[in-house]
Formats: sequence, C-alpha cells, structure tokens
Amino acid sequence: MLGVRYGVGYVGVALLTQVVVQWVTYFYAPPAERGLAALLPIALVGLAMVIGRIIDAVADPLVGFWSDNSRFQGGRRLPFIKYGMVPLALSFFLVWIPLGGSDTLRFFYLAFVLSSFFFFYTVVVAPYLALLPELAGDHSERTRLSAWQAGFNIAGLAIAMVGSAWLIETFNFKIMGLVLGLVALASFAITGFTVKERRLQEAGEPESLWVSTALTFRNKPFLFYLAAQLLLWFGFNMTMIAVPYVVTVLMVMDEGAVGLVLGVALLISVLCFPLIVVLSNRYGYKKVLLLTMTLQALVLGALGFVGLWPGNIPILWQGLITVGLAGFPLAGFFIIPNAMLAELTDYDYALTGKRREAIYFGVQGLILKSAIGLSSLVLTFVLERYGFSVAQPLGVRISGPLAGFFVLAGVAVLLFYPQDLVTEKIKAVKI
Amino acid sequence: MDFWAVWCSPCRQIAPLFAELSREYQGKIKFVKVNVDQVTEPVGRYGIMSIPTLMLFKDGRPMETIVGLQQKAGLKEVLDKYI
Repeated sequence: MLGVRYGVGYVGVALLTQVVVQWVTYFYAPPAERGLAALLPIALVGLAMVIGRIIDAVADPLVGFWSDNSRFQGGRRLPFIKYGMVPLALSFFLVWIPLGGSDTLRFFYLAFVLSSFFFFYTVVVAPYLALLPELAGDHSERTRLSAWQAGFNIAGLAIAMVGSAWLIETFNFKIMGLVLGLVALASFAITGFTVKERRLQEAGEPESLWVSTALTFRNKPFLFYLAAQLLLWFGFNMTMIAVPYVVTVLMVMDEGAVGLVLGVALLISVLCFPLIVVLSNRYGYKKVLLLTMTLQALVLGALGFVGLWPGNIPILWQGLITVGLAGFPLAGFFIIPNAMLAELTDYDYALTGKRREAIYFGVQGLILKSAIGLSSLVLTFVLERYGFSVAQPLGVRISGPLAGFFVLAGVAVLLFYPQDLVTEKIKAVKI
Repeated sequence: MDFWAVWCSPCRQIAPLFAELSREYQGKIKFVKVNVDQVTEPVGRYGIMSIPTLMLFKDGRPMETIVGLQQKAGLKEVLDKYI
C-alpha cells in the first residue's frame, strides 16, 4: 500500500525533531534539583540550538533547489533519502554523546553535531516531502497520502514523547539516541527502498537558484497559502509551548498530566482523520481549512477560560473538554497543508512547465521555521510580562486567545486563496 | 523513436507534431513511440535521462538524439539528412 510505504517516513520526520526539541536542553543543562551533571550553561545550549536552527532554515530552499535540479540515476528525491538517512541517524546519535573537556569544546561539539543533524534532516526531509505531488495522481490520492503522513506524524510524536522518556528512565540518553535513531532510520529506509520514483524527468534547461526562488514567490495562490500557514503555525507553536503552563497553572495539575491532555487532543484528532479526508474530497482544501482554522481559533480562545466555567464542573474536565474540541481542527492542521502545497506545485507546473516541488517545500520550511522561532519569543515575553504562576496566571490565560487571534488572522488571509483558479489550472496537467 | 510518458506535459505537446511527421514521411521513415513507464529496456540501453527524447536510427544504429521540445522545421531538417 503506497500510503503506508510513503507515509511511514514521517515517523522519522516527526520523531527526530521532537526528541531533539524535547530533550537537548534538559540533557546538557538539567534543572539543579534533578541532581544531574550540567554539561553546559543553558545559554550556550540555546546558542548551539539557534545555530543548528539557522542551518536548518537556510538549508531548506538550498536543498530544495538542489533536489529539483538533480540528475541522479535513482531520481530527484529517493537518492537524497537513501544517502542522507545514515548521516542523519548518526548525527542524531552523536547529540547524546557529549565530547569535549571544557565548556568551550563541548559547546563547539554540540553546535557542530546539531548543525550536522539539522543539515542532514533537511537533506532527507525536503525531498521526502516533495515526493508527495509526484506520487499523487489526483485530488483524492493527494489527500489520502497526506492523511497517511499525518497518521505516521502522530505515531512519530507519540514514540518521541512516550518512548524517549521510557528509554531514558530505563537505560540512559545514549541508548535512547541509538534506539530512536535506528527507528527513524528504519522508517526512512522503508520509504527510500520501497517507494518508486519516476526515474526519468522532463527535459528542460537548468535554472538558477534565484530564478527558481523568484518564480516561487510569483505564484500568487502560494503567497496566500504561505501567509495563512505562517499565521497558523505562529498560533500553533505558541499553543504547544503554552500547554504545559495551561495544565500546571490553569488546571493546577502536575507535569504528568501534560501527556494526558496532549494525548486526548491527538487521539480525537486521529479519529477525525477520515472525516477530514471525506470533507476535503467533497468541498476542496480551502473550505475545510477555513472551517478547521476558525474552529481552532475558537478553541484557543476558550483555552483562556479553563478553570472559570460556571457550575461545578471539575477543572480537569474543563481542560479535557476544551482540548478534546481541538481534535477536529488539529486533524485539518495535520492533513490539509501538505496536500494543499502538493496541489500548488502542480499549479506552478501548469504555469511554468517545470517541476520544482522541493523548492516550494523548502521555502515553506524557511518561512515556517522563522515563524516558529518568532512565536516562541512572543510567547515567552507574554508569559514573563503577565505572569505564569498559579498566583499570577494572566500570561497563561491570554496565551490561548492570543494564539487564536493569529490563527484567525490566517483565516482572513486564506479567504483570498483562489481555490477555483488552482483547481482549474491543474486539471490540464494531471492525467 | 519518441520516448514519452503520460505524465510528461512536453511529451504531450510534441505528440501531434510526431504524428504529423509520421504521415509526411510515410514509407520513408518508420515512426515508433516508446512509453518509458511500460517499456524500460531501451531506456536503459540508450541512456535516456529525460523526456521527450527523440532518437533516429539508421540500419539499427542510433544516428541522432534530440532532447526536449522541438520545432517542426528543425526536426524535418534532421530527418531529411537521412532520406
């Protein structure tokens, strides 16, 4: 089944970054009360991470361009996955083997392995994502493949969140790095060696990076899509950072409940996947994304009222009902954007006669990663300014509605997305 | 010999021209279309990397290889050299 063979690669995509984001800071600069040896001052860990993230963001369009214009025997995408996955897994493993006898040496070591990790991550992931438009013959197949990706995305996140903690607790960080590195390697290998890419490409003159990027930004529907995505991710990332505070401050529960709350949202989201597929096939991507984003904005607004409901409804239920309602919008968030971008790369092909799928995924990566970085800054500012404790919870309380505001702004932008024009144009190029 | 595929837009553009030439050169040159997704052996044998690729054979030997979209006049010029 193509959906499984292609989608399973997303386990690696989701797993590796989630583990790095979740554990690197903790591993190198653990909280004092844990009694673990601090390997680096936390500011240096943050700096090494920023360097890695910059490499990651900049590499996105570069690797996209490289992949689009490559002429390897095995195709334009699969060779990147096959040759990139081993150094990727290796650099992930090395993150958990701290070397260097001093802070300075350990900092340079960490900055180097994180940069290598993020670079090879892009080498594998940008071409992996760019395979979708080629593999999908029509609208329903595009949605179906994207839904499989979304399912494996959640599986990867679950392995990262639950599996990493268990492996660290039972063994240590080194074993966790080894085991999860191998899991990611296996997921990429299944896609890399079982999916068939077109070996031949359409003849055409090679174009420069500048021309390729400029053409991407001249695709107007893509710009509306990208702006809406940027705002959606801005809100989503703020929410992801805020959830632990919502649980501990507004719901007054311990950190262990964070997994429960996220688990409820993700489980309901997976259950809603078939509904999103059916709705997308019937009404198109724009309408369904508008619906799910609007609902998401409303749920985020409601997040600010957890603990304030009238009547005697326990706070735990107030929180669980609110995040449960986020399940359906989250399903849209997980499935539709990748399918929509795949559609947009076909639209570009209809206009220009050249296939440049990876540069689109690359440019999107660059923009979204910048949005993620910026939203983290905004949220930490809000929490610090308005408070994030049980005594002073205002910062936490307004973080949900604030995130909802950004998502709603994304809805306003998406209203201008010319879905009919895109659908009409790509009919001419899809067989 | 026209190496093509259904998903290849320039291949579809060149197809009517190829059909037109096959009528004009009927009895002089044999025109063959090779769907690269169905018949892979000649793709490997002749090192085809991108499509559309047009190849001209004489006495079983490849004489010309033309890659990408072409004008009719240019193709006729090449064909006329061999008849």
